Amino acid sequence: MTGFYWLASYPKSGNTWLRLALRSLRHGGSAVDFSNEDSWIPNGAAREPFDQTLDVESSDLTAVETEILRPRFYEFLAKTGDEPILRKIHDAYVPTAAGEPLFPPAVTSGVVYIVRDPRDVAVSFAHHRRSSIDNTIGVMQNPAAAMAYRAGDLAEQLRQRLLTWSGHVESWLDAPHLRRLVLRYEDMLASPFDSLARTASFLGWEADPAAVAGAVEATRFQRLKAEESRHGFRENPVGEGAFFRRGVANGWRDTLSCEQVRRIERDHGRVMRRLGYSLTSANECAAEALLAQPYEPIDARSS
Amino acid sequence: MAVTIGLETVVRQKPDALWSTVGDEVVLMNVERGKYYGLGEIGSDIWRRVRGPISVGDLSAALSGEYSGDAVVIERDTIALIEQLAQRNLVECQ
Amino acid sequence: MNDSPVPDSLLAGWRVRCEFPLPELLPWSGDDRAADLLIRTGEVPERLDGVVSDGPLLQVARDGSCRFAIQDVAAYFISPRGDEVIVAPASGPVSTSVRLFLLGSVFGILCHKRGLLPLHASCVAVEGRAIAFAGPSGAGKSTLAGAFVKAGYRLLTDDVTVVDVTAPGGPVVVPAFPRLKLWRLAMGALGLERENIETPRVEAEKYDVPVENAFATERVPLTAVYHLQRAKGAKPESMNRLTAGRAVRDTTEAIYRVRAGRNLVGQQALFRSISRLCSTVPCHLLTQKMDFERLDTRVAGLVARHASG
Repeated sequence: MTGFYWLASYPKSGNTWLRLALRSLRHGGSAVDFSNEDSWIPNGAAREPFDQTLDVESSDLTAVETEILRPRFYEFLAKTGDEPILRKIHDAYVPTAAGEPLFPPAVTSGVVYIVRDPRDVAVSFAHHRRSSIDNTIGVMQNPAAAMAYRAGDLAEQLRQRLLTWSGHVESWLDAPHLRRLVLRYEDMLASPFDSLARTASFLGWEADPAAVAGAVEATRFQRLKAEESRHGFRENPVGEGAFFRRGVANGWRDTLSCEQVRRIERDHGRVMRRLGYSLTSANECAAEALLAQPYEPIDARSS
Repeated sequence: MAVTIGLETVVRQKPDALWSTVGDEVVLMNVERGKYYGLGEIGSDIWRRVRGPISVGDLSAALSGEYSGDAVVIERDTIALIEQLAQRNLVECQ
Repeated sequence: MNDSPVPDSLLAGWRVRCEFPLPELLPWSGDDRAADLLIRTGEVPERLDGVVSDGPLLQVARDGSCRFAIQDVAAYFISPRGDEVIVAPASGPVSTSVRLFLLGSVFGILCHKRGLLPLHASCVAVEGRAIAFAGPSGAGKSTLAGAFVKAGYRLLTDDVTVVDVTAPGGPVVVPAFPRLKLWRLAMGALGLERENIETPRVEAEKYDVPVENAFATERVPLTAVYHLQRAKGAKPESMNRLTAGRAVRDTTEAIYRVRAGRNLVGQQALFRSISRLCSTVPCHLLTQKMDFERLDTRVAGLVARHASG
């Protein structure tokens, strides 16, 4: 009999680094082969384990029927396991059509909830979805948004309902009866040692500082690689020193238009404030708007 | 769990080790951990030879008689393989 | 009242006597033996006596009987020897959904019970040689099989490849039934019309295409198993022969209803059957992009590997 630790987050909110760092920490802080990322702390909505455990083809079930069975799936794994089970998940904390939580509190040992500035999420998520930022901002505001739910085709994962970005955050932060550790992506970036140490402690791991330091060091390059790919679709070439540039967590400033920023902050301002993210002032946006406008000089310059 | 294997160590297949011959190779399964191992030609031969209890020294000597190669190297490789099998809970050692 | 009984049908070589029609199966046209499998409607207990394996959907009892149930669809009782199935529909008459799970999980359980090895794979016959495509749901098994059918080859099965590993000349594939389950996008890619094709679970957009004209009704020797894997990101496409250990591992993962199989025949027996299969049938890992455009090329490439001459 055991329980689950959920590493929960809205997509593209930074749980990759944390998973890699935990993996390294699991091995005493040594370098680990990162090529097979998916097998370590896999997605709790993967289809194959669900099908194998429940002895059914989930592709023969509707999304609602599958969702109703997911709590039973998790309960069964908890019943038959003997070590804490770690799973990454993107689902919001929602009730199934049967009226119970998708993730049963009775088999949940704890939740590590990772959150990231939605302005950066919009940029990263748009890239991931191969879609425009505007379209992605719309998805983040759509309560019916879901991952792995392609019409007319079958995905390797079960459908994961996201709610809106704000809805996702609030569903996890306000869920009753859950032991929780909330981490901000920006803090993980700025203070990886502290974030990892707190996480290890929360998970009940014996982790001496040397091992934690080793894990941070071992994953430094991976963090940088992740940052690189996040910036990757920006047109401006980035010099070698760019990863060490201050404010790298605020990449959205260089990418989002004023209007896009306004939309996101209007949609999600309340939750952003709750999480400690500062919103842009009216002046900042206005100044940028001015600069963006092509204008005719009133007086021609004399040469 | 580190296990020190010496020439006088007596080794034997674990009775509950699941194994099968696939082509020329022996495939082992550690049921508890759900892991599979494929042993190459020599590894498969070694596996079959430790069906009944045998000392590592005797095993190594028998292999030296069958395979060309430095007896010291064969001994070292044999010990290494037995160590790996022991670590994966597939053989018992005394 | 109509007294004429439903004619017997053919499923994985068994003569099936069923109380209700099974339109997915071919009629029995073999010898006049007694029925191998009886299927009827009736009561199914909520709980079996002496449950030794208690999953959310499947109970296995000490005597080997099984109970499988899908809420709001049906409960199924399977006798210890796998020679009788009792179906209790949740409401009303036997629907397409009821038959869907009967020919899915229940069928898989029957295979395990009756000494056959079911793989989660599609399978086609190329010049008397059976080629199976294994992989998790969504890997492209049925789509690839559909492409073979379109190219004129015959289907042995689209979802459950039934293998008799004890056959004297080596493992053979026993044909399942002539249906191809395709998703809407795949239907489009294969140029198939969607009108008049059933979608068993309406929301799912999964179509059940009859392919009686392209169905192999005889047992065919299994020549190769291809484990399908999606090429992710920039990873190139490849085909690699699997070593013994990996072949056993990947084939085990590809067993249809493997958990039930372990509970029913035992870990050891299953391991032996799989090893036997891997001893004579080469297994390959086929990493491919999920690309509808390349289907015809893929078929041609695979046919070239296996056709004689």
